[in-house]
This record gives sequence, C-alpha cells and structure tokens, in this order.
Amino acid sequence: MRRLAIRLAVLYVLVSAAYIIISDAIVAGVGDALSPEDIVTVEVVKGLLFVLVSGVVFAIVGLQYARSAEKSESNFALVFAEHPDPMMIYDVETWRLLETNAAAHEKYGYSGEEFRALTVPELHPPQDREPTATFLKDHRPLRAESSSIVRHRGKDGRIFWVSIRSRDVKLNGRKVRICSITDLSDLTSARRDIEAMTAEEQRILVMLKVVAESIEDGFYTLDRSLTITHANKTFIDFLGMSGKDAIGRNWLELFPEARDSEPHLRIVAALEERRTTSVDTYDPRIDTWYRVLVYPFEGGVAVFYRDVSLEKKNELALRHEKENLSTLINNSDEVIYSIDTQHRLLVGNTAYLENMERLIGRRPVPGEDARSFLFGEAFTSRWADWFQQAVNGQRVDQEFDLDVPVVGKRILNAAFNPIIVDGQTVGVAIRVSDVTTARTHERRLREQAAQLSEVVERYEKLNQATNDAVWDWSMRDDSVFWNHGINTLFGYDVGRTPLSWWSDRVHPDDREEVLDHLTQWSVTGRSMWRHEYRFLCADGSYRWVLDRGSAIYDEQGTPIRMIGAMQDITASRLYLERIEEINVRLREIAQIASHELRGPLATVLSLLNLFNKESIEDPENTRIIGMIETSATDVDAVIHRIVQRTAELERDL
Amino acid sequence: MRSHHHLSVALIDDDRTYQFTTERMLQRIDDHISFRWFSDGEEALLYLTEHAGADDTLPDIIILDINMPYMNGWQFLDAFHQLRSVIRKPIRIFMVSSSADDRDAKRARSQVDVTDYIEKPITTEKLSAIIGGRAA
Repeated sequence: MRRLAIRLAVLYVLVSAAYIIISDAIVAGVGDALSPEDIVTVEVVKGLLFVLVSGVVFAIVGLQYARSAEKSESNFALVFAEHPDPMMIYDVETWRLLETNAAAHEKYGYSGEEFRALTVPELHPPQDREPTATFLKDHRPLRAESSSIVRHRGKDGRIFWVSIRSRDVKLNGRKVRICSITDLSDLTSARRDIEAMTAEEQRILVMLKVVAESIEDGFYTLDRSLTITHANKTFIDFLGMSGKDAIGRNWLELFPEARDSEPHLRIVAALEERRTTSVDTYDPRIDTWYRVLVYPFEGGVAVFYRDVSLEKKNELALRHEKENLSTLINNSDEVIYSIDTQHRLLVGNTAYLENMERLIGRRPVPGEDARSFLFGEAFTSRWADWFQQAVNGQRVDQEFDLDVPVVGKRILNAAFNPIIVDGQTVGVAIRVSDVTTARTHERRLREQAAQLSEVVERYEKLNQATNDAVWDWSMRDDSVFWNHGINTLFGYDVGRTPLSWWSDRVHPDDREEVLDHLTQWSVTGRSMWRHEYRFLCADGSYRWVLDRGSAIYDEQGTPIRMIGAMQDITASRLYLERIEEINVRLREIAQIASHELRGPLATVLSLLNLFNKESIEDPENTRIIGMIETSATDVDAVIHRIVQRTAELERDL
Repeated sequence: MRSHHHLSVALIDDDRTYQFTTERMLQRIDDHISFRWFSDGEEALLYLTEHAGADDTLPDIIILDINMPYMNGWQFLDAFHQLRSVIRKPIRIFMVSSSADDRDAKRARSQVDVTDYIEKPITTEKLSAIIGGRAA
C-alpha cells in the first residue's frame, strides 16, 4: 500500500515535470508568433489543464483504493467471521472482548453481545483466573506471536482445553490482541491424555516440549510398555543409533543389564504410582554417575538423566567427611548441641542426649526450648547472657561450677559458637565438657605448689636467720651444699663441697665414730640423726658442734638426700666442763662438811652425852669439858678450811 | 643391863676421844662388859689373827670406824673376810662413821660381815641397842 503511494507520487512528479518542461518548450517555440497577452493566456490554460488532469487522475486512484480497501475489509471480516476455529479480539489494556466469531459463539455458547460483556480471565475456570490475569499483566504487549495451552469454560460451565495463538495488532488506533483458538478436546488422543493430566503435568509437558531438544541432559519418554516414544539428541547420541531406530525400541531391550536395577524399578514405580522420582545410578563400565529424574504422565514417563559423576564424587567425599565428623561428634564425651536463636533445640550428639536423659529422665527432641533444661534461676540467667553474646556473633568460652542432682558437683566448660549463615546468626553451637578431674588436679597441684613455695620460703628465711651451718647432702653424687653458716661459724668460704671435705675436718679422735654412726643411721635411721663432735675451723682451731640431720627417701625407701645443720656448741660445752669442775670442788667441800666436820662434832655430841648433868661436880666432867674444847677447836679448824675452799671456788669462777 | 656378863666389845677407831666416850658409855650400861680398843684396822687384824682359835679372847662385837689411817674400815672388812675360815666365833660388826653420806651407809649394810651401820655420834641408847641385839 505504502509502495503504491510512493510509486504514484514519483509518477506524478515525473509526469508533472515532463508536462511543464515540454509545454513550456512548445510555448517558447511558438512564443515569437504570440503576443505577450496570448502567452499569458496559453500559460493559464496549460496550468488549468494540468490541474484538471491531475484532479481526474487522483479521483480515479482514490476511488480504486477505496474499492480495494472495502474489498479487503470485507474479506477480513469474512475470514474472521467464517473461520472454523473460534477467534477473538480483545483490548490489551482492559482485557475486554471486542470481537468474537461464529465458531466462538458456537463453542462457548455466548452470543457476540454476551462476549463483549466479558473480560479474558472470565473465559477461564475460576481457579485459573488469577494466573491468567498475571500472565496478561506480564505480557502486554506480546513481542511476537505467542501460543499457550489453557483451560477455558463455556457458558454452560463445561471446561475444555484449548490451544491459543495470539498476536498484538492495532485496530482503529487501539491496541488489541487477536486470538485463534484450537479446541484440543476435539483431538481424541490428546484429549484423553490432557484431561487426565494435572496442571503440574501440563506444565511439565509444555516444558518438555520446549526444553527437550535444547537441553544437554539426556531425555526420552517411555510408554507403559517401556517403549521409547520420544528421544532427544543427547540420548540418541548416547545410544549410538539414529533417531528412527531408537523410537519404538523397548528400554529393556536397549539396556538388558538394567533389568531390576534401581532406575528400572524407579521407572516402573513412577508408572504405577504416578509419582515423580529421582535416583542416582552408577554405571561401572564407564565409571559414571547419572542422576535420573522420572516424571510420570498419563500413559508413560519422561526420563531426564544427567552425568553427575563430579558432583557425586564431591558429594560422596562430603558425605564421607560428614559421616566421619558425625562419628567423631557422637563418640565424643563432650556434649555438643545446637539451638536456634529462639532457644529451640536443633540437634544434639549422643553425649548430649545421654546426659540429658540422666538429668531430666528423657531425651529432648528437636524444637524443644533448651532453656527448660537448665537448673536454677541465677545459672539460667548467666547462661542466657552467654547465649545472647553468641547470638550477637561473639564466641564465648566459660568455665563454671555446677551442682545438680544425679551428677553432683562438677566443673564444666562451655563454648558458645555462633552459627552464621550469609552473615546472619541463625543459631548457636554449644560444646560442654566436664573438666572436673583436670581442674581438681590442677587445683591440687596449685595448692601443693603454693604449700611447697611456702615451705621453701620458710626454709629460705630460716636459712637466712639461722646461725647454724645448714648443709644439704646429695647422696647420689656425695656432694654437700652449704649455706652461709659454714663461713660465719667456721671461716670457710665454700658453697658446694664433696662429703669428704667435711669428714676430713672432723677431729681425728671423733672421725671414725661420727662416720660409723652416720653410715649406720643412713641405712636404718628414720628419725633425726644427731652427733656431737669437734670440727676444724679455717684458723686451725677446733670447735665443738652439735650436728643434726634428716634424710629424704625415694619411693623404694632409699635415702637420696640428707639435710641438716651444724650448731657451734663450744661455749656451752666449755660451760658444761666448767660446771663439772665446780661440781667436783663442791663435792670436796661437801666431803669436808660431811666427814671432817661431822667427826669432831659427833665427838662433841658423844662427850655431851657422857657429861654428868645431875652432878656437875663429878670430876670426870672436867676431863669431858677439856675434850669438848679440843673437839670444838677441831670443828673450828674444819670450818675454816671450808670457808677457804669456798673462797677459792668463787675466785676461780 | 646387868645380865650381859662377859660380853666383849672391841672398838677400832683412831680417835682417842671417841675411844674414851665409848668405853665410858659401855661401863655405864654394864660394867662387866670387857672393852678392847684398837687405833687402826691393821692393829685389830693382827690381834684377831693371833687369837683366831681362842673364842674367849675374841670379841663378840666389833665397832668399826670407816675413816682411819693405815687401814680404813673397808680394807679391814676385806681382810677380816679372809679370816672367816679360821675364826669360828660369830662376831657381829657394826660400822660407824660421822659421814652424813648415804652411800657409806648403803655400802656398809651391803657387806656380808656387817650387821648394821651406825651414824656418829654414838649415844648410850645406840650402844644399848647394839648390845641388846646380841641377847635377842
């Protein structure tokens, strides 16, 4: 039409130009014979003639076009009206039906008038209206011709499957969609299948049609007798035969070794139970894993398969790892479990379940509120704090004492690990371990260490404070460690010496006895060894020492070390000797008093016994008095000696 | 006291005053008691050896002082013990001393030949007890 218009325009321009040039040339050629007034007249006539001819030509063309358009319109209307398939035109924006043909009237039972009162979704059964509306919204305008299979409902409520082909056009300035509808219920075979299909199966069928040839997955369909009814290129290539050869062959005939295999059983089950199923199967001949998906439809199944060897191997490795991990977790003595952010138990290992069974008498199940298993308000509150910290993304590690029924006092360690998925904490994994034994042991060790250091400190202080020469004899190498006392007391500036260094300095007269005693004691002794002996000083003099020591024994009871102290007792020893000397002299004095004084005194007493008191004049009395006098002089002499001896003693002291 | 006829008492003591007082006291107790005095142990031992076979001349009682020159009381006892084989007569020996030392008393009483130990001063009462002991 447009080309015709352009052709007409070009033709008109060319003819017009030719007429003007030629007519002007003729006028110019005869111009000399004409007067200027004639020329003007000729020009006017020429122009009018042109306009006249042009007008006639346009009128003819216009009439012809109008006739042709009329004919075309009536042809279209005829085609639309008389088309054997139902046809409809509806507004793309309002979905309101504008035109319908006779076939549509017949098929749906609506009159043209009734159709124009409906919108497209109202042609569908109520359950399909929503999806239809969505489809219409999403597809305005259609980019190209579209076809779809949908369910329509007639005026009488009868539902039938139709295939719709649609195209968007502009009609009288309006965007409309013209649809040609094929009633699929007329196709006897298709009808049976399609009627039995669910909407889901329908979707699959359409999808299959679209994707079957384009996908790289193997695809084929089987009928109930497992005969191949359709196969895509991948599958045919796999079989290594032509498409024609493959179609119509029995599946078991092609794969005799697959009889009673998992895929075989799954296909049969899908056929019988009309259930979608999938199975991973391994072909050992080519070391390949296939994932087989079986979709049932009325009268057969569609089978997709794909090489998933890599995926499968990864998955197996992962599963293996998971199993290892799971075994590890379940065999652990540590309690491991996870809860979601709402405190609901997700999963717990064997140790968790067993421990909970001991504590609360039953095994908790996923979904239970894990807080209900805690003991005591204060502890529950602390636990909730730790849990919240973990929910906030922090890792929490806590040790605490717990005294609960059944298990008693325990020291536990709990680690809260947030479970983060895509940056969001979705739960917390909790690991609880019983560290009672380890901690008790540590505590005991710490206490022992503290006690030991206290003892060491005390020993050090004592060592500093003492005036004794403290020694530490290691019997294994016979070496002796000395403290400062060996220097202060005896003038030796030594730290460590062999044992012989000490024994060489014991007075020769005491040495044998001291060494014998020490040797004998170290074998049998359990209490403190003590011995007094003389020890040589650095200045060559001897000092009396009191040496005392105690042994340390190994597990076998063998002495391994001996620690002791040498005390300088020279002063007290000398004092003792002095005391003894004094005692001797005191005894002498006592002897004098006892014998020499008592002798004459006893005589005096005897004489007094003889003295005649009744008759003083007795001449014997004179003799007795004389004797008493002599004895008294003796007593006096003795007393003088005692006084003298006592004075001597005092002087010597 | 008069009933103690022919009782013979010997005193071995170097103290003359003591010899005098003992003799006087014995005379006062019983003037029939015969009294013999030796100034030391050796002198007494000589007499006893000489008269070993003649019981009548041997004393019944010896009062022996511990502290004496030449031969003291203990030495005398040792020697006297040797004579026991030749002297038949049972002679009672009383050791006396002015010593207040208990050890002397204990030692004396432990001697086989010593009857008792008497601490000086000797009194009439003590002597009566010694002599009376014979009668008993």
